[in-house]
Amino acid sequence: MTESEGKKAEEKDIGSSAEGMEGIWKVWQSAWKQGFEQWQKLWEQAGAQYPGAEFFSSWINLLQKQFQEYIGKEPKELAGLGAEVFSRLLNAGAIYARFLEFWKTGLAPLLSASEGKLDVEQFKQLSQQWIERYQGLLKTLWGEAPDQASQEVLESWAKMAKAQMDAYWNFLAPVFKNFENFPDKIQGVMSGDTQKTLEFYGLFRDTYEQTLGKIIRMPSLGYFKDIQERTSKAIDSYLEYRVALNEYYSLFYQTSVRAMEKVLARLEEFKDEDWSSPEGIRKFYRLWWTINEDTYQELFLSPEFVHLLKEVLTRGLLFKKWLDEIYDKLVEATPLPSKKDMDEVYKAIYELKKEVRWQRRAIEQLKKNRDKEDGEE
Amino acid sequence: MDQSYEKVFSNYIKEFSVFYEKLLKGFQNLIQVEDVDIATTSKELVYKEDKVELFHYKPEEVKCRIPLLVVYALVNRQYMMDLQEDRSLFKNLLREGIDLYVIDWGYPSKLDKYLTMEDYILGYMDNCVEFVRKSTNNQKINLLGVCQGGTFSAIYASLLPKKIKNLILMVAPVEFHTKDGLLNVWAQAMDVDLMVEVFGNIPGDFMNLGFLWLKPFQLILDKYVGLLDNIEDEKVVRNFLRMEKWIFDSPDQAGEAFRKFVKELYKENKLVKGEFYLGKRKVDLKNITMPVLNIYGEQDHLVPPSCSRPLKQLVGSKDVTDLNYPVGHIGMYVSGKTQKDLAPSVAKWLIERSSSSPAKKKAQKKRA
Repeated sequence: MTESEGKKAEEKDIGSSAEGMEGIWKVWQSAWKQGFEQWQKLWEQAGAQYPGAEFFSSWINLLQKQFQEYIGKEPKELAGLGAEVFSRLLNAGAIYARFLEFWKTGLAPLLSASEGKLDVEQFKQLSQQWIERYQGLLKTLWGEAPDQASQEVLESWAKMAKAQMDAYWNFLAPVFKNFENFPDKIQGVMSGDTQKTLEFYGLFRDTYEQTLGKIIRMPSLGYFKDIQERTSKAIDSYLEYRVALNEYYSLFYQTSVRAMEKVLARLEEFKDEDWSSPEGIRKFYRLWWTINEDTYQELFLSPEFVHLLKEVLTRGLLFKKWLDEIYDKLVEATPLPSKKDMDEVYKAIYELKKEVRWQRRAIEQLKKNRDKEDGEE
Repeated sequence: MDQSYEKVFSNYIKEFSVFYEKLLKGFQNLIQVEDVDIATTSKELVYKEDKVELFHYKPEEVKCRIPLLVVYALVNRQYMMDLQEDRSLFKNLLREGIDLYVIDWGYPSKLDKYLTMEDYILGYMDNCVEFVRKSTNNQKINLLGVCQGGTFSAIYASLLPKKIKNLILMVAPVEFHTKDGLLNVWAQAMDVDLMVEVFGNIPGDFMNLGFLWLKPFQLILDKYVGLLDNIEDEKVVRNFLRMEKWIFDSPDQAGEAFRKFVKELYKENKLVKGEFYLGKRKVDLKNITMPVLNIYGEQDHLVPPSCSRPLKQLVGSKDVTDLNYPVGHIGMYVSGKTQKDLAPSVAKWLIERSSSSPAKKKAQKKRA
């Protein structure tokens, strides 16, 4: 069969089964494959120009989006275990694609300059370039940590918090005053300087405590006092949660940068490897993730991390607690039972069941004793 | 185009194309798999109380006259021990002639948020022990506790030693103040009272997130990249799906039981200090005088050996056997290394200690 005959046969096959699920996906798959191959040829012909740093990650993001949309439309067909696992596979794929992109943009120019061999000195010179690209990889890795539902809740509350903040706009002046040194500090944060990062978030926290924090915590008066106070507490705890979360994630970013530095240091040991080969890419990937894993283990065991974990957990829980309090207050005005009402019901049922269980045991013991006595008689 | 750059670029394209092809194959192979068969070993539901169920697994030939009751953790599900046809601890134990009973704790709902450790151990678990004792006509039965279920079993055996003939703990924590395990370190950061107040029951997804972050690069990234390398091997894919199903099948944790477990064990380490109470009863591990088999994985990152190993010094038994394997927490059940050895070793240990023959008893004493 010639190539054109093969293509025709493939098209026929696709067309004939297009009604079924399989057909749909064959079309989809074929379209993507052809698109990718054309794109690949185009860039191979295009010379030394770099083919757009964001292409691959945006491609995989699109793939993810399409897949999620498809799942949304076809819950019956695609709601199984395989679909769930494929969704996780795509997330991992997105990270891997980002990794490849980083390899390409960060390492390939160096590799080409040194004919596939690595020169650590060159890395050092280009560190500022790769650190920016590396942030993109880290964003894919850690940026989506809160699940979708939490994000939606947080976003809706962020809007509410913003509305409140607008009203207190005048109180924000000291924030800006304190942020005069912002560019210097943010540069420190970006380069993984722990001290600068802690100073940066410390500054934010102090400013908040001195300004908005005081206002938000101020007791309210009048008819809506209760709900207003609960709302203020929720906003306050949300803002504190966000501050804690930022500090928490900044540690992750710093650790990744530290891990990357370790990876680069280790590369010297493999200076005779051909890193430009596909095997080299895989080797680099293995080195990258295993060193990262070890570096994160060190972080996770550190008192600094445990402290921030406690902060994030506590702040997040307090935020949810106040949020629940608001919902409960709102539910009070309806015929629906509140969380507190239901807790009382659960408790009563639990105690009743427990009582029945122990009574049943006591009865069985009494029966046993009686049988024993009957036997003795 | 510069030749070396062209080489780097074309290799990059090649790697990406391979990755892309695998991803598409992954899509084809996975997308229509609605479910996979797990826990295929034949069993019979013999007892049920609330959401707790007790299953009986019958061997073709009983070689150990005293039945073995398996108590799994409240976290995740007991079918890890029967995950796939060719890697099943239950099947292997049955093959060795062990008469097996297994507790399934079920999925707690909001209605169960007030369940305590006392309810679980002296309520449900004791009722299951009673059922097995009565239905098999044995004064004492053998008890095997896994992970948190092992801690429960140690507590049970120290409170009601007269009901237990032999005790086996598998990857079970008793010493909680160790710096080798992230869970032990992280537990110190938890305001568990606030957590239970806010959540009621601790969500399984929340627990799972914590477990994934113990090894984020392996569990969120490399595991799936590795799957892509084997995406055309149907057997590998099916087994991968089985494991995925188990990992993400996380029941919520009853709030009150979780509070006590984290607060008094993980944070305060009361069990080894001899300060742990269940209800009004003090738990003294020295009451464990029956033979004990302590099994742990040398590479266990959830319950590191330093959590399990101290058991020997803490119990009152003079017959304590340590059995360790070069595996992790899950590897204990699915690793090729343990498949051949674990069940026969457990069965042999049990059979030797489950006979009432005086001659055998004498021999045992000598060995001890």
